[in-house]
Amino acid sequence: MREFRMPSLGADMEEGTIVEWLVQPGDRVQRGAIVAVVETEKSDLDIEVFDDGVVDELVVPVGRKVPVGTVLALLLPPDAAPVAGPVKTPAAAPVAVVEPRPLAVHAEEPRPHVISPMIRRLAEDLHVDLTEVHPTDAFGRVHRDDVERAAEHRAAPPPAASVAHRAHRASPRARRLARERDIDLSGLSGTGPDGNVVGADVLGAPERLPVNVATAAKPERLLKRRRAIGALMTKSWQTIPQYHLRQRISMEMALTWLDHHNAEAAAESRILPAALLMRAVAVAASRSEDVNGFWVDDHFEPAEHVNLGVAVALRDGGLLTPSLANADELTLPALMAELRHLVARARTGHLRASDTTGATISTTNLGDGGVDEVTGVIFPPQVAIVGFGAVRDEPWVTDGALVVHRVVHATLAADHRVSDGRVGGLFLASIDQLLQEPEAL
Amino acid sequence: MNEAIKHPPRTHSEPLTVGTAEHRRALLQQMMLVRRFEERCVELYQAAKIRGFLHLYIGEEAVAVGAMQSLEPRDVVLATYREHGHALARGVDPGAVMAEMFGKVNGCSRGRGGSMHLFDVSHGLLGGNAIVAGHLPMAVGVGLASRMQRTGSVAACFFGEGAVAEGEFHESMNLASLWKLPVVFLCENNSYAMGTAVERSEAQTDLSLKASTYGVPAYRIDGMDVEAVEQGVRGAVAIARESGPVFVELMTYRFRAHSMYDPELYRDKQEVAAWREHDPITLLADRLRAAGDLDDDALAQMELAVTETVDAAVAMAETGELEPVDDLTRFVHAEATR
Amino acid sequence: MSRVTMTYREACRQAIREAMLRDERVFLMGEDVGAYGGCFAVSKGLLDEFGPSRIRDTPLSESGFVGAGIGAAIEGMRPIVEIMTVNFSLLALDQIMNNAATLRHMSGGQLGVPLVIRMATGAGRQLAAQHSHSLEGWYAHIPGLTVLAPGVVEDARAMLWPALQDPDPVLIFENAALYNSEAEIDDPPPVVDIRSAAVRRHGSDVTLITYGGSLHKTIAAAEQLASEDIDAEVVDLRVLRPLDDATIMASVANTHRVVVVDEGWRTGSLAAEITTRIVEQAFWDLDGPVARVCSAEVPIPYAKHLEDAALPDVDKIVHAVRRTLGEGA
Repeated sequence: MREFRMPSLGADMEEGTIVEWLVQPGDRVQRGAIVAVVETEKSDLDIEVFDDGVVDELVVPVGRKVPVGTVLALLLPPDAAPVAGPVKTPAAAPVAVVEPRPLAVHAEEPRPHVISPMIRRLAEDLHVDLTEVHPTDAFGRVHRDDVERAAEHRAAPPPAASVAHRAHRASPRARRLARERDIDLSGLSGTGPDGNVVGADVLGAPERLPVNVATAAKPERLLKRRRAIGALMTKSWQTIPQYHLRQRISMEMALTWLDHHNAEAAAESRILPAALLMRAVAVAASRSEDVNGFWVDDHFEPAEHVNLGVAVALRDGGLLTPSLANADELTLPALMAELRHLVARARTGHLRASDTTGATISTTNLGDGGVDEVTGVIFPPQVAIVGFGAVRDEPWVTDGALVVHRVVHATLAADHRVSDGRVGGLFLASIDQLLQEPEAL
Repeated sequence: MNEAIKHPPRTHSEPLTVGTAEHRRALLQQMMLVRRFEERCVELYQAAKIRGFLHLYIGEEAVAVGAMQSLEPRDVVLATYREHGHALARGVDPGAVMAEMFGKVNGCSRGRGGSMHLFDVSHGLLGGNAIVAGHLPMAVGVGLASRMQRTGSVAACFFGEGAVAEGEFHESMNLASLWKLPVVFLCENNSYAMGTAVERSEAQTDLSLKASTYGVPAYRIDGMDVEAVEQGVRGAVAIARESGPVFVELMTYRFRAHSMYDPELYRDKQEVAAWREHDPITLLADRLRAAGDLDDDALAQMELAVTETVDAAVAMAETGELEPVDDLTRFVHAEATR
Repeated sequence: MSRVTMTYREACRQAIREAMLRDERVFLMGEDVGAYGGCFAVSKGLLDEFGPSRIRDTPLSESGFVGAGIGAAIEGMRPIVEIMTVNFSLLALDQIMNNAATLRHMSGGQLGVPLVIRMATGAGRQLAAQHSHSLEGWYAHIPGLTVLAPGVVEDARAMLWPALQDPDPVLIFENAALYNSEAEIDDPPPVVDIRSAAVRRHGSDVTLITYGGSLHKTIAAAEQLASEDIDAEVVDLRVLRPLDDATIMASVANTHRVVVVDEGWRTGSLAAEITTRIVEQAFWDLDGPVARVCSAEVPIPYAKHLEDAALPDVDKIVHAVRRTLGEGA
């Protein structure tokens, strides 16, 4: 059986609509024959077949718009007997095509200056001590909002001394020299334009004690990132009464289906098991009560959609949890594509604002690292996190017989203020059940 | 629309040249190679193995195949972006051409050019040029180098009839004629500049007049008849090598769309059908049969040989490596100097 | 070695002569280079010496003869193509951009275009808006080209030969205001490379970066500033592509303050590129913002007072330096 697919007539053609079939089941076709007329953004185009054969089935009916690469018709070998009977009914769901985009894993992470010159100036103008400002940004970068908030919350009025320094800024070189020598710039008077502190002013200033070398060796940005993660996790541990459940899930059905799918898919359209697991979590979360949403002011607010947080380990340490918005509404290929892009953006430091806000439930998957299972710590204000370990061959009893299955250990950490173990158990069971019918995912 | 149908030129009932049967069969097989190679390209394009623009020469094979016969190894060929046929007829490895379209490093331009920029200096092929008429001044320069160095080589410059509307065509005609340079200007007149018919773009549709006015001798040849092309271009090349530029207009027709994604709104299907009746491959095959120089067995053998060549080309393209991204910025300057 | 005094024009001519004598593949081609003696009289006398085959007058076909130069270069010649002014070179932009700069890459390294294109650039002679612009920065945008701007007589004499030895296309911009300038130079001329900038004046307070027709104005400004106890360093880029980052950054590391002087328009200019590189590579060496002195954003007008007002001059450079140093304008 040969498949006749919606042709790609250019990089700018994404989909086409069958306007007319020029052949019917049972017709013999030869390589080069025009078999259909397809409407594209440009116009109607004749499309040709590249195999000799007998038309077995027209899969896509006239009038339907399908993506490039979708199977339009099936052909039998030329020596097959012509099919008798009525036209076979065209099937439903077209195959979605994943736009090939490689993971940008080689891209260098940008080297952010944690505090930009603009922020420094703002802080100076607002008399905010930057060492007291805690960045809300997952990257540890200080934003305008952080400084303004710090200014609002400051109890005491600015000390009179700093008013005198208000107009005095320091040049990049002066800042570098001061940093290298651990000199406090606020103690210097400037000789540059507008009284700004320039390099020469610093070179004339006395040095303080040498800085702690061990602390200095670790880039400031990594330390900040570590501190931010620490603060969040401490809050979770201290304020959320968490309960933990674990369930072994057979991946035999899911992976068999996936292998079959991937064998037919182009390299860039292949789907990773992790995407399947996330899809199951998203669907299950949309159906389960009391695991998807936020703990706000002493009560639980369920979320309408599932924004699935994904814990992403960064190469130089630490982690980020960007989210896939409306993950419950993404098809599996779309979720896979989104996941690739999201991970790439997270690792290259190019996350968008929409990536980092609003996760309603999170997942953590340490299967790549080889651990058997992972019990996550809930990211407040969320109320649940699902963890997956590695998929391994394990003994499995089915119908009274001991067999070997590929198995994953799924765990759930959930907020006892919102749900009880029974709800959590149903949620995990729902994930399990979804994974036993992967074609429906 | 029907009034606008352009009729194909009358083909000669008797062959103009009586080459050996062996040579005539070789011409046929070369045209078949170009045809089958490009048919495979269509399939590979629609399967997204080949990307970018893909311009097919199907229908025009007699022009490149016939014209290349009289060129010597020392001669230089400059072609347009519709140049698969020129590369193959000039002897470039079909595998290297296919690999180029796959973007592989074993392509004839290391995957940096693609379908529109086939280069092979060892075969004297200077592109694959995709700015219409942009390569005509270069052909003049190739001719100038030939004259100044007295190498005796000729520049054969292929371009479509759309190019004659460009200033660079006129500048090049004038310069080549002024300096009497050995350049053969081969105008492949397939009636359409993309989708613009020649009478919709040219105030003077007799293109040979445009060359004559620069003092360049001009000839018109039936471009569907490979033997007529061979004989005509042979004469033109001899004149160019001896005395100066020549303009040859080859009346031809492309059977397929301009590019892959072209609904052909600008021409009538009957017009295409009429020209298909003058398929250059059928024309020569019929002649050979009539002369008793070709039978079904021989034709089948040729098809088989051509198919094997195309299969091998695709295999070479499929198995070729992608150039490492680390090499991205190579070939911007000569490597030894940086 | 002896010393000899000559004009910039004579230096260009002697450089062409020397190349023609040393390498028989070299020839000169362009509008009025032969019988007329060159629009700026650079090639005067060369037709008599070398004959019409090697001193080749062309029709007014910039695209045609630049393309012919490319073809001839590919086939083994070493053409020097002269375009009267950079404004006219736009008629040959297709050949320079789509062919000369591109063929090596597009052919996967098979083809090289060892071509030299010389052209006049710059304003200051009341030639109005079609003969006065400084568009060399546009060409410096294009990978595959080397772009030179000799600003002194010595470089005008010495840079052509290494340009002809380059296996890839080289553009040489001769600021027309310089042709009459005169200097004493070594004879035979020094060997120069076409990769590095030159420090024309050493100083410790501020770096002035410039090239071509603005070099003399900048040096004059530096002299004036010296009388005010401001010690300016002057960097002559000479090579606009590839830019010599090392020389620029070394100077910035020494002075911590920068003024860029460029006869091109400010927006999207070479001066913008240099400024960005300094911010990228030497930000932590800066003691103040980088300043620029560029041409006003207007087609160069004919009237002398307006033309003068449009161009960088000594006063504007001096003011920019004072502002940068916080000395008041």
